[in-house]
Amino acid sequence: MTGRIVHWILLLPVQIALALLGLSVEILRGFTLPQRSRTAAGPPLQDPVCSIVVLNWNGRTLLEETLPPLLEEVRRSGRDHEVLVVDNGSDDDSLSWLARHFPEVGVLALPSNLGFAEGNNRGVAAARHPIVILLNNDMIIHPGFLRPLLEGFADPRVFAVSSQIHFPAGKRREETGNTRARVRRGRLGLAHLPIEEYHLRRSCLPVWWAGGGSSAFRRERFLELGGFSALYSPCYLEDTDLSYRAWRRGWHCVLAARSEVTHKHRSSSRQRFQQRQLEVLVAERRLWYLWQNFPLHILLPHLLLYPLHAQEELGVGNYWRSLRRLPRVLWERFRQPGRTVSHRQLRRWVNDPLAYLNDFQPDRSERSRVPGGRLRLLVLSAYLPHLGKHGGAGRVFQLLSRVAQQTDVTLVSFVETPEEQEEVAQVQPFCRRIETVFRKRFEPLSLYPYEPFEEFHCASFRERLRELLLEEDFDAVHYEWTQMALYSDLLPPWPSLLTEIEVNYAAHYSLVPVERHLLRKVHLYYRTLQTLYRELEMCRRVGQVVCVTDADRDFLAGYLEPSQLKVINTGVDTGYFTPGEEALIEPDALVYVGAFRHDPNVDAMRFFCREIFPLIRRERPQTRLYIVGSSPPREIQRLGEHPGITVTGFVRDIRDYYWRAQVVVVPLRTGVGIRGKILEGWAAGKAMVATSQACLGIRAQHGENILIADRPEPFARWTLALLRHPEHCRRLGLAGRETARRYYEWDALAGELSRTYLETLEPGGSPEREQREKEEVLS
Amino acid sequence: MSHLARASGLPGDHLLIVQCCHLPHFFFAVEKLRARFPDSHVEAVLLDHPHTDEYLSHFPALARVHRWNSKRRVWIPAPPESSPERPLDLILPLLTRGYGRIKHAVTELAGARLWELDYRGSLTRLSRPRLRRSRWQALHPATGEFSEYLRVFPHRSLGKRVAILHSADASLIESSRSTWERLLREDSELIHLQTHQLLAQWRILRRLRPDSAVIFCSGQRGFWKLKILPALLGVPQILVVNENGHAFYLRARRLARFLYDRVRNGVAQPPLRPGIVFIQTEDLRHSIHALRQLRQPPLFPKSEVAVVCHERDRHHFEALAEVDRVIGYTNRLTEGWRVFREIRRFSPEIVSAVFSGRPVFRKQKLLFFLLGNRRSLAFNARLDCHWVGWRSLARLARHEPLLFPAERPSSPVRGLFIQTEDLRHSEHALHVLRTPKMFPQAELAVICHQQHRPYFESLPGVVQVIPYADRFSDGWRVFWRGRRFSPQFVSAIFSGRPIFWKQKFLFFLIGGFWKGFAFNASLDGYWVTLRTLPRILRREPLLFGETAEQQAEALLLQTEDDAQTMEAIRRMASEKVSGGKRISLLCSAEKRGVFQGMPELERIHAYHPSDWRANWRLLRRLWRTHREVVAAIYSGRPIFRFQKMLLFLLPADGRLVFNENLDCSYLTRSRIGSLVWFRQLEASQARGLLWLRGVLKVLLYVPRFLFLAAWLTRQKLKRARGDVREDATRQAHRF
Repeated sequence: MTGRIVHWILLLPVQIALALLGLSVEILRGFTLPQRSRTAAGPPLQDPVCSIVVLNWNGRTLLEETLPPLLEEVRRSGRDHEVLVVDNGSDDDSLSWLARHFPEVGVLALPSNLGFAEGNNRGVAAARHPIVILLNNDMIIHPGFLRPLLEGFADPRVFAVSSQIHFPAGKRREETGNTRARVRRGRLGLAHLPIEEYHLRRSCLPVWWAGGGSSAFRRERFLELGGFSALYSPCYLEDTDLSYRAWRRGWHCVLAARSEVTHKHRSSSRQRFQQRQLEVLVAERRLWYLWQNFPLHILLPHLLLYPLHAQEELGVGNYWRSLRRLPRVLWERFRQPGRTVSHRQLRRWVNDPLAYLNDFQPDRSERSRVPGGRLRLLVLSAYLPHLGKHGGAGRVFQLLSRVAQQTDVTLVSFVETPEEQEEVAQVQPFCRRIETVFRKRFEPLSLYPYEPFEEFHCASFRERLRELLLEEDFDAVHYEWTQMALYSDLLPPWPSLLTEIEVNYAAHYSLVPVERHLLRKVHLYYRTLQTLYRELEMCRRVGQVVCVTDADRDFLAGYLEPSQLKVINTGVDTGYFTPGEEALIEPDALVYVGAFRHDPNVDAMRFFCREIFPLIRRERPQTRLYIVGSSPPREIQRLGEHPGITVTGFVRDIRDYYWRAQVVVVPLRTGVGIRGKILEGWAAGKAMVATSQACLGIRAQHGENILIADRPEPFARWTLALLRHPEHCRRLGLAGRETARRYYEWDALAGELSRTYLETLEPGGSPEREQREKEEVLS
Repeated sequence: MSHLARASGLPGDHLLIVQCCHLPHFFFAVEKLRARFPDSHVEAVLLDHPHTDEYLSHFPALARVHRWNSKRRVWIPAPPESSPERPLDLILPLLTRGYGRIKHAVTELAGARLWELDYRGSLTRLSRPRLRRSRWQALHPATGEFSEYLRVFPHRSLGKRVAILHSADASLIESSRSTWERLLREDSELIHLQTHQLLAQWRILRRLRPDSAVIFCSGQRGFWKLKILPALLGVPQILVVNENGHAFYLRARRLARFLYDRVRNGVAQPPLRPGIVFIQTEDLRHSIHALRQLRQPPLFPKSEVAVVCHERDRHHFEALAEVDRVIGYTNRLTEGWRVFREIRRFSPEIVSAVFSGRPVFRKQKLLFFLLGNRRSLAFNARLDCHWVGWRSLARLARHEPLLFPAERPSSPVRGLFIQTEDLRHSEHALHVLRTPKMFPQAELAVICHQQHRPYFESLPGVVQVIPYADRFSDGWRVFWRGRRFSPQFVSAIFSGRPIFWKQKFLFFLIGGFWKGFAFNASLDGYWVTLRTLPRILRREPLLFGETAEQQAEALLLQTEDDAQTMEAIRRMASEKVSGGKRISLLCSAEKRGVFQGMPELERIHAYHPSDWRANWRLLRRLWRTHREVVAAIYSGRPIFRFQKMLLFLLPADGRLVFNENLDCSYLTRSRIGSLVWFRQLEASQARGLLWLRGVLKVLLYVPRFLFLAAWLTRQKLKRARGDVREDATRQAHRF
């Protein structure tokens, strides 16, 4: 450490001088640049012809291995590709050997060894075709090498296409072709990352540089950029420099991983340099590359910190020697034309291929879609679709299981417990692919009091989704619950749909009248506003918002475009929830069903047990209340200690309790959205007493299929009336079941959802939708 | 004269010279003007300054003096008058830059002609552009004559009580005496201060409170305490005299300029005759050679050299032309004090001696350092000389034996090996010790049981075997014999097996702490240092005699709920993570039943939340057991904090950390930060951050509320206007 600090102190004046020089060059450059250059995209090249340039220096033995598969590949392609060997002044018998064994190969003999950069530049200049593939003489191509490489040039923005590099068996794979660069603590790191599955699935993904020994380049642009810079002579990092210059002008360097070569690494350079010399060569060139190209905000920290690592990386003596090419580096920096792509953008594209795809291929789904094929649907769900846990999970299970008959469903869902993970098997039959992520409690450092959706920020979910999107394309995206729209920034502008199981802000607002304490009332109002703000943010990110009731749609209609809103009710499985036998009914039994992680259910029971149930018990002491539902909090569990109240907790089959009930009570005062418990009660043919808040948005008619009361006394009165007159219970139950069968069957609702998907896919909307919009305008 | 002058283009006889330069320059210009026009009526305009009168008393050559107050921009008493009959000629000595206001004021005088005066006294007509230029540039370079004038230019007088600080060589103070004596009043009282009386003089100065002080800044090293003393004492008037005899009163601006000149131009060292004391620390031949070198360029040809030597060599040194004085000593004890005082009385600038590395003249060499002189010059064995500073002092101390006997190891390295393992391992360790990388020529002594004596005697390199039997007294005998062998290193094997613990103890008694070389179970050797000592202590039973556990075991600390922990155990059991190591778990005793049946678990260490004694025993046992891996789940939840801390405390080769998704990685130095900082940040475990967040939330509550209310109002207004559709459409397109 002491040595490092000493080097830092010694080299600091030099670094400061370098920084000032860099700054001066930038300022001068800023004055002298006429304007920011805009580079026009070249023509797309469909199935182009190419020239393959093989650079050789004393590599006859290597050519013996390289040329036969190359010529075989050219023959197999059936095109008039040119193969040109550039001989860099070899003094073995490479030339005569070539003339003897491969007379069909063109030869460009240079008088002496001009180095890698100049040799290749001469080769490119002599090439005939618009695409030039530069191959080292130690690169042995694999069958099918040419086609993926040349396909990359169909995109007019592409400048270079690199191939995947393998190493001979038994050697450590030092290169892959998937290149990255990173400046960390003042040091530039250039690395090859492993090839992932998605690289093989995608035709081209961005890389930091296309290797000079196994890549294809557009010849015209190669020459326009001045070819490989002679600054880096004799070898190394010319390709990195060239690629960077191309990127900054808006010309892309990509990797076609399906094109493969095997590299016999450093076969030529080892003839000329020792290991340490090679290390110094690379380290020196890394510095020059950095100084020549990188922007000042990276260069300045580098200059400050590099002396700490100078000894370790290059050696202080070599570092001094590396300054001998400084004037040339600065000159190269000065003469660079204006930049079209910023360094930050480039880093974002290369480090995040998904961002690259979203920026440059936003319509990739349309391009890959087979006309008339099945819809590929991506569902992002906040909970695992499941029957019997809570209404939201049941709804999405029922809908997806039906929609999946016409679509390929890919589900990415949060799960909360390992047990829940095991329930994936329930969803498996109708999902093509399922990805689940554990949701952990997470508290980001939000500044504002109360952030409604922050608990759904999850890095691992984001990462899993990113991997999925890199591997596959989809036709439509379905966000199940508002929070999932947090991840919409990862997706391109595909047609999207968001289900609002309940309008969150309205649910908060419904708590305000119930609260008596003034300050808490104010705070609830604040939470309502904050939720509304965030909820609208989420809703505006998607194309279509599906509400579950008309009331919910009305809550949002004031803030969103009406055509963006749609109502698809929650249904009920009337085949599953059937009326039970009369004998099963327990006289004077009241039942309430609800998942108690949902606060309105807790409030409802608190309200009922404190204010209504004593009134009922006063008249009919034999009355019993069954509180059924998962996760009851301690407060609800304590209610079970009161006479006549039983708290069951989670039950496997809730039908037993519906069948046992003489009357089902729904005393909800807060919350919005559809109440699945009412639909289930109707389907089970039960008489029900509910509040008007519970009946919001459903087809409840007081006296016909349900009894409605908001205050404790009427609520108790109606309940007592039903308990006293079982025939009224039967009548209401029959009417309720009829309502459920007529309006809330899942099959009809799933059909509506499928139609909605199709509508979102069509840019102009479906004919029905157009017609509806016209009517709205006319009215 | 005036008509003649006017006709010839010269100024008339009514001249007004303007002080548009510093006072010395101005009075120099006045003298030149007077010499040029002895008969003219010369008036002057001076800046209104309290010191002006004092200077004017020195220069009575001016007929009339006008004053200009540049702050208030008024003439005192009235501006000079110019008439057509007697036109005024304004003479501006543009010798220094600045003085813009007075220049501007005088040019506004009606009917005046402007003339420029240079150092030689020649007058030229002054144009307006040149006058403007003079504001930021001195138009004439100073001449040698002016420099001489500056030397004698009278400064303001010093105060009544003047402290003269001898902050330079005595010769310099003497040579510049005329400079500062000129400024003394007749009744001035002088207080002289020198370096070696600093503390006493500090007290005196504080008592006497001088009005003025004179310091000498000659560029010589040292004297800085003296130089800053007047400023520390708050002496109101400080005169600085430099090496050329120039003086100035200390002010911030003037000091800055002085320092700037120093930095820019360096210091021309004044010709000094420094006193040098040369202490004889080598034989005559070397000493005389060093003395001659000392008196030759580029060292100190003009110095005064006193030699400190033994009385028997006195005549040799007195015969040398290079030596001015000889201070002799005999072997009596009192002589040392006399010599010391005599040297101090000589007050040498430089002390010099030869340090050749030979173990001779040790007391004299000590004297060299005891004198504590500011500048010390040392000669090495080849009589190259160098100044003694902190760095070279260390070098001298390394090479010089001074008062200690010289140790010149000519014999091979001696090492003591204590048998603490079986014969095969011990032989291998001895072989390692004699490898070329270690001590190939080492002479080894081995402490072993007497039954192994023949075996060790037959090994190469073993020159002595110190055997012991089972008697108690043998321990002492072996210890003393081992000490008497005076080994340069002590070696033993610490494999972790609970055997030979007394011998291992002996290893430390006999010097293992500071010259121990230990082997581990794989017979890799390392020096025992403060860093490596815990390694031994942790692994070895030593005096406790317990069985040390060294096993390929991975210990998972329960820091999350049961389900997560079970999943982590399963992942740890995979070949990829812990390579099939035996897995144990540290959990609460209440949870023992939960994990008991897991096939992956080898062992469960259970702690009891209420029994701290049992927990302490468990902790001690865990700490003394070295494991390969210790693992824990760091999910970010603020639970199991003590257990999480154990991840860092328990000894292990690797520390495995699971994150909230049970992805695991080994903890490295670079990852600790992310574990402690970033994860806490994510999970808000850091109380400080939580507190900060709480404060922010409270602070932002009302503004956010107001913003949301305003936003909602805007939304409603938009809705009323029907803009909401467009807005929504735009937002939808954006995403």
